[in-house]
Amino acid sequence: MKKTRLLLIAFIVFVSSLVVQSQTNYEYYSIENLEIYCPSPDNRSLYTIEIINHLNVLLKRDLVSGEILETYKTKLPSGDIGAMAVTDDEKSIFFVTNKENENGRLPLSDAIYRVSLKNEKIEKLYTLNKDINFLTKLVVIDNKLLLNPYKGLSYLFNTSKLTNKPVLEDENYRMIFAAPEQNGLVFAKMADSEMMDMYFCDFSKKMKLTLIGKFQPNLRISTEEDENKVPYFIIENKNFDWVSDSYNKNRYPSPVMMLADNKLVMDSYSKLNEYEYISMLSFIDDTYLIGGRGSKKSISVYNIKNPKLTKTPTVSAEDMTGIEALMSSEISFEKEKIQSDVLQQVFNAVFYTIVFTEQETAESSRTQTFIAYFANDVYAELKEKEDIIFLIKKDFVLNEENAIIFQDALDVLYPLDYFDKKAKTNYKKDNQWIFVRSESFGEKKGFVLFMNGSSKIIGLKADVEIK
Amino acid sequence: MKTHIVLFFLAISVGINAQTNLSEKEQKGLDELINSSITIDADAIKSQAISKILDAEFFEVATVYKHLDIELNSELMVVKHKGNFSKFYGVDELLPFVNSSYKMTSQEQATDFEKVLDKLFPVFYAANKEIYQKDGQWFFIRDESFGEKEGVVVSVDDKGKVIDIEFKGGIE
Repeated sequence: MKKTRLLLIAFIVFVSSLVVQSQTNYEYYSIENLEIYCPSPDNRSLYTIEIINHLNVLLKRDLVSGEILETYKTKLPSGDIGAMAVTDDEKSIFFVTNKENENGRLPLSDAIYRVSLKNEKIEKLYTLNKDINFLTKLVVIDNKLLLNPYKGLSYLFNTSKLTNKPVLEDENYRMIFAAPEQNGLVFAKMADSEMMDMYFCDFSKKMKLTLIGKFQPNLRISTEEDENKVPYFIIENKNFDWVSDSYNKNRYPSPVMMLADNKLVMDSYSKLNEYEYISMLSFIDDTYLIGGRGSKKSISVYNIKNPKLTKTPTVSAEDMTGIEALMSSEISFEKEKIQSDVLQQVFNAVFYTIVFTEQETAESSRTQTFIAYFANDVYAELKEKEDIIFLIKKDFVLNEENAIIFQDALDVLYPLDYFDKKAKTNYKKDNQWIFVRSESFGEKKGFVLFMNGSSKIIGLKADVEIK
Repeated sequence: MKTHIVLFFLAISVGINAQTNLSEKEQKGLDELINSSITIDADAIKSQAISKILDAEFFEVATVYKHLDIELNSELMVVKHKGNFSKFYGVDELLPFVNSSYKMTSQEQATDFEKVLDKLFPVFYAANKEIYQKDGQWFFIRDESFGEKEGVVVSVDDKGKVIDIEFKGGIE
C-alpha cells in the first residue's frame, strides 16, 4: 500500500524552519496594488490584474524580471476579483468578480468574465445568482471552468453553453484539488470517521466517481506530540498513482500552513525577505516562489535555486547621507582609559570604558557603558566577564596577596554598589579561589577561579552562584 | 542601502578627544572598533498613494550594532519633508505631511488614504479593515480584538480638507 503524506508531515518542520537563522533571500521584484494573478501555461510570465489610478488593468509581465510585456486596453469591471485563469492556448483570460455579502463579511462571487487576448475584448459570460462564496481557485479544464469557492460546492461552468452546474450535488463531497491534465477533480467525502473516502470525478466519463483511496484531512498541532495530526492520503487504486504528482503540481497558490509538508518550500519560505507578511505561496518550475501578502495586495517573486542575497538599494546616496546624519547626530560614544595600577599587575591589556548614548526622543535618552581593551595589538570589546581569563598575565598566580590585587582589579572593571560591597569577600576552597561579588536574599554570586597545583589560573566562571 | 558611518563617528570622536587622555593611536583604534560595529540600513517606502497624498518621503531605517554589546533593536521610520530628515513615530504625526490640495470627499479618495496606511502601517489581517464615514470623520479600521475596533480617525472640514489624524482604540 502506497502511503503519501500530504499537507503536513509535521508542524515541527514548519517551526524549525522558522527558527533557523539563515541568509535572507531578497525578492527579484514586487508588484504592488495587485488584484489577482495567474502564471502563463509555459510558466514564463504572469498575467496580472493591477489597480492603476483606481482602475483594474490587465497586464502580462515577465516572470523573472517583472517587466511589463503587454498592457491590455480592455476595460475591466471595477472592484475585487476572486480568481483568474488563462487558457492553455493563451487566447483567453477568465476571471470571476466579487460582490458584497449582505449577510456576512466575506464576499460572494458575482460574475464570470472572459477577455480575448487577441482582440482585447471583454464579455460578461454569466452572473452568479446563487450565493457562492468568493473563489479560492479558478481552473480551466478543457472547455469548462472549475469554480472552487471558499467552502461549499464546486461548480463547473461550460464556456460554450454558458451553463453553471455543481460538479456534484452532494455537499458532502469536498474538492481536494483539480487535475486538469486528467480532466477531473479529486474529492473527499465528508464522514465522521477519521479516514474519509477519496474519489476521482472524471469529467470525460459523465462525472463518474471512482474510489481511489483514503484521506485524513485533520491538522492538529499540539504540545503533546502524540496528539499531532497531519493530513495525508493513501492511494489504494494503482491506476491513480498520478494523484500525488498532480496534487503537487496543482495545489498552488496555497496558504503557507498547508505547505508544511514540503520541506524545500518551507525551508525556503523562512529565508524570504519579510516572510512574516506572506500568507499565500505559489511554487513555479521548482524554482520561483511567489509570495502573496493579502493585507497589502502585493506579491513578491523569489528565486530559491538562485537566491538574491543582497537587497537592491532603494535609497539614493544623497538621502542616505541625510539619514546617516540624522541617526549619528543622536548617538555619541565617550571613550576613556581606565587608569589603574592593579589592572596592570593582573592583566596583559589596557582597558577603556566606552559610554554609548542615544537620544531616543526629544525627552528621553539611553546610555550604556561597555568595556574595551587593547591586547596583542588589537582593540576589542570585552563582551563576557569570563573573557578576562584570556587577558590575565601568564605569570600571575593566586595567593593571599594576589587575591586581594585580583579583587581590586575586579572592583575597577566591575564596580560594586553599596550593598554588594558589604558582600564582597574572597577565599580559597580546594583548588578554587572564590570572589563573592553580590548577595541577594541569601544567594551569593561571584567569580570562581580554578587553579592548577602551581596556583596558576586555568579556568574562570563569572556570575555563578556560590554555595 | 547599507553604509558604514565611519565619517560621522570620526567627527564625533574628534570632538571628544579634547576631554580624554587618549593617545592618537588609542583614539584611532577605539574609533575603528566602534565604526566597524555599526551599520545603518535604510529602505525607501514608496507607493503611488504616498506620492499622491503626502508631501514627504518615508524610510525604514535600522541601526545594526554588530559587535558592541549594546542592547537594542533600533528600527524606526524616518521621514524626509522639505529636505529635512526626522524620526517618524506614527500615524499621529502624519497631518503636517498631507498635501494641502488633497481632499477626502469620496470613498475613492478614502481608499487612497487607506493605501497610504497599508504601506506605512501594514495590518496582518486584511479582513479586519473597514472604511466608513460618520459625523465629518472618516474611520479607517485597522484591527479588531474582542469586539473592539481600533484604527485611524481622520477629521475633515466641510470641503474635505484633512484637519486631524488620530489613532484610536475602542471604536464602537
